[in-house]
Amino acid sequence: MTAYRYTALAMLVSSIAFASIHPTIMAQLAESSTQRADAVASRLNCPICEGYTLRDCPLPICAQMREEIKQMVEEGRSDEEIMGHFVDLHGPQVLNMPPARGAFLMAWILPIAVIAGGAFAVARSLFGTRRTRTSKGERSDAELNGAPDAETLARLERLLEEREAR
Amino acid sequence: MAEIGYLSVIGALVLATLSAVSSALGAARGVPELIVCGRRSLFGMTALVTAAALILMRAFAVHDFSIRYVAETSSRTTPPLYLFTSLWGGQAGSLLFWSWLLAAFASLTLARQWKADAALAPYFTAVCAIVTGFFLILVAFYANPFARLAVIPADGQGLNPLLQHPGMAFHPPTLYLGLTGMTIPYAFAMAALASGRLDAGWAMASRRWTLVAWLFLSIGLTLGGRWAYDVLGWGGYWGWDPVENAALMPWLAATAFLHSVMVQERRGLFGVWNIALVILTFTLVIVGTFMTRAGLVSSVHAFARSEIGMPFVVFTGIVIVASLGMLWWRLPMLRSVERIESPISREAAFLGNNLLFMGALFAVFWGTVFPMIAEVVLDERVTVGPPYYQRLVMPVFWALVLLMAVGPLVGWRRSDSAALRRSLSRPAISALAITLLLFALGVRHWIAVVGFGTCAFAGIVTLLEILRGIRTRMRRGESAAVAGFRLFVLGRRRYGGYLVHLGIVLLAVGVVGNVYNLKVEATLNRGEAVDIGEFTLRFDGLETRSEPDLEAVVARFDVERDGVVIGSVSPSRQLFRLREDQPVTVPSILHRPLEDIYVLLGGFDEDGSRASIRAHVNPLVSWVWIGLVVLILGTLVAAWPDAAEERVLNTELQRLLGAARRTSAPSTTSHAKS
Repeated sequence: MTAYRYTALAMLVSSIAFASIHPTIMAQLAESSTQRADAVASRLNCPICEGYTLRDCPLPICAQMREEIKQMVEEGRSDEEIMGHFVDLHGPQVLNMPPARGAFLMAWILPIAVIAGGAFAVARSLFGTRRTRTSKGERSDAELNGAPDAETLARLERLLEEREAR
Repeated sequence: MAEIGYLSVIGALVLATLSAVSSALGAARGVPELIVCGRRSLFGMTALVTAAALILMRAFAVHDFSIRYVAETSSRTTPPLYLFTSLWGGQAGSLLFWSWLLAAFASLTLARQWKADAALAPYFTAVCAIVTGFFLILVAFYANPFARLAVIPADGQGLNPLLQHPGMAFHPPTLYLGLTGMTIPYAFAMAALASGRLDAGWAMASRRWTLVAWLFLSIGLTLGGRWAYDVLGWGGYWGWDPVENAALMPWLAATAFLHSVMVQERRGLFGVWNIALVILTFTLVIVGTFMTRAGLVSSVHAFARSEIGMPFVVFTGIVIVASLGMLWWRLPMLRSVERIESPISREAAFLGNNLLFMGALFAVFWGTVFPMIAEVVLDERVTVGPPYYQRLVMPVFWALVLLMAVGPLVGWRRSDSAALRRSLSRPAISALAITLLLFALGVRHWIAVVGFGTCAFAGIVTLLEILRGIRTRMRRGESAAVAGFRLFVLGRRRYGGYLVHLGIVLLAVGVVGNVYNLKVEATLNRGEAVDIGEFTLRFDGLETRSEPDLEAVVARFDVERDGVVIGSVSPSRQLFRLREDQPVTVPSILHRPLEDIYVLLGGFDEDGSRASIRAHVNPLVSWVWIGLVVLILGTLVAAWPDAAEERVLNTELQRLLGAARRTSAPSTTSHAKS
């Protein structure tokens, strides 16, 4: 089976490597000004209606603002400068992602910390059980005392499984 | 009539109180008469809420504009279908509708389940009566849909034009059915805690009803997404706005429960965790309802002004404190004697599944509440939009799709890792081959490469599992068709579940399509055309259309590809006569198997010579809907009720197994009790 595994891995690695140097991909990375303007617009909210990004908003005035962004991109201004311009005009809530600074960092850190903490707890409970299991003799005590043996339990479980999965 | 409606609500509230008190008292003291009284009061309450809802519907039908709610949400020109949906078109009516569905759900469950779960039934009745009672208090004292107007207007204001769409007719009721339905498993869990009957019985009843509620919630979310796509005109179906998140969060928690409850049924593990998940789901339903109904979404300040805000906060607090208190009280009885034996086991896979679902849930929750926290604590206005969720939730989503491929192949207790690798290697290599083929065909975006590869892997594994089931049956001499049919009829739970997984794979394919979305904005003279991707849109002129309730300007565009006309789109702008301040731009969509061409009309010259449009090409969107339909069908298969005796037999088997487990490890049990 390992041969399969290595073949699969090699194919995966080579396809990723190929993808990363392929000219089309490189072309995609060097975005056009329209694409960059779109990317900036998708990180801003429509300042007028609620719940739309500037990129998606159907209002004519937002089309004008998108045009403005495109011009600024063509003038060679950075994404941060353009977003800063809109923040100056409409306030910080025009950004649709909390900025990664100061107290706003909590927006990002907490979910990641929760997932990481959960993963740690799960891993500990999974790999911690091995040790306790090998060292305990409770199960055999129970079996000696004449309680239903492992075989009965297994039969019951099999019965359930059959009912469930015919 | 309106007064009778209001009196019905008050009467229902009285009966809810009676039902809650006498059920709880009767169960605690063991007085059968009180238990029967509680049960009958709940049925009586349901009858009265039904009467109130019907009276309000009648008021809509006869255009009784002396009732404020009727005047605000309907008009004489509102089409009949939307007259009916006006019932939940505003806050007061939707709260009544909510109470009605909840009462109906509770009565239905009680009628079906009374005998099977006799020990749980009275407590179950009490919890349902309390929750319904809370919503009836809101209807009676905070948002009365039967309130009269001092001056009767000649015509009503009409339903919000954005809501006049078939999707919106069925989206709220299905969503509400899903949300209210989550009360049923919660009531079972609370009944189990109160009665101390903590064997697998409550879990089985909860699983069954969670599946029913989950089915409706999924349909509701699907219709909501479709409505957003067809009506809102931004070209997408899911905007991660707080209202959507409020419905997604209980869905995520319930999905986690539907998986982890299997571990409890099979291995007697996760007892505490499962109750916690049911409590979490229900709490999210309540929090989500009040976030959307009390205006917490738009601003904390709007919320503070809302009348129903405070009662909701109090009720949520009571739910959390009471539920967790009960759980804490019964904790010693819930310690499981079994353990997860190996990291390579179905139990461990389900644990991973729950971790991922909880992670996604927390990210959605945090993103939804963060603006409120920032407003209160930091005194700053921030918004959390789609890019945030895409960064945090999408990686978890893809991890779940990957786990979906591996999980079902891992055996219970402990699994041979070499065997697992053997059964996964062929699907993995096929998926890799498909990915390379797609790459050769020009799929180069890294998200698309990884996404399609993951979808192919999960899809192949799931299909192979279904095929394996069919082949096993065919070996017993059944024909392929019979084997396939019997597989899904007899193995509803497992194979319905696999169908749901296939639906998720198809949905994921549609989601990947997003990376290739195209957008063009153009102003065209008649006859002129604009290119978008491989398609060309040619402006063919404008026409005006007049209907009783609206005036529409419709633009026609031919869609061409390689110089051949393959279809047409006609985006429009509609002006509802009663809401002339609120013009609606209705997108027009040409659905194709591999992409949608989505066109929106911006401005236009009245003489029809010029129009400006916004056009999107959205690849693979159809697969989102196809995937969701498959998911819903799979849930229907899995949730299809068993025959009554089958259910009783299964419950008995579960009890036996639970008892056997407890006696087989007496030392651990006694340890847990001390």
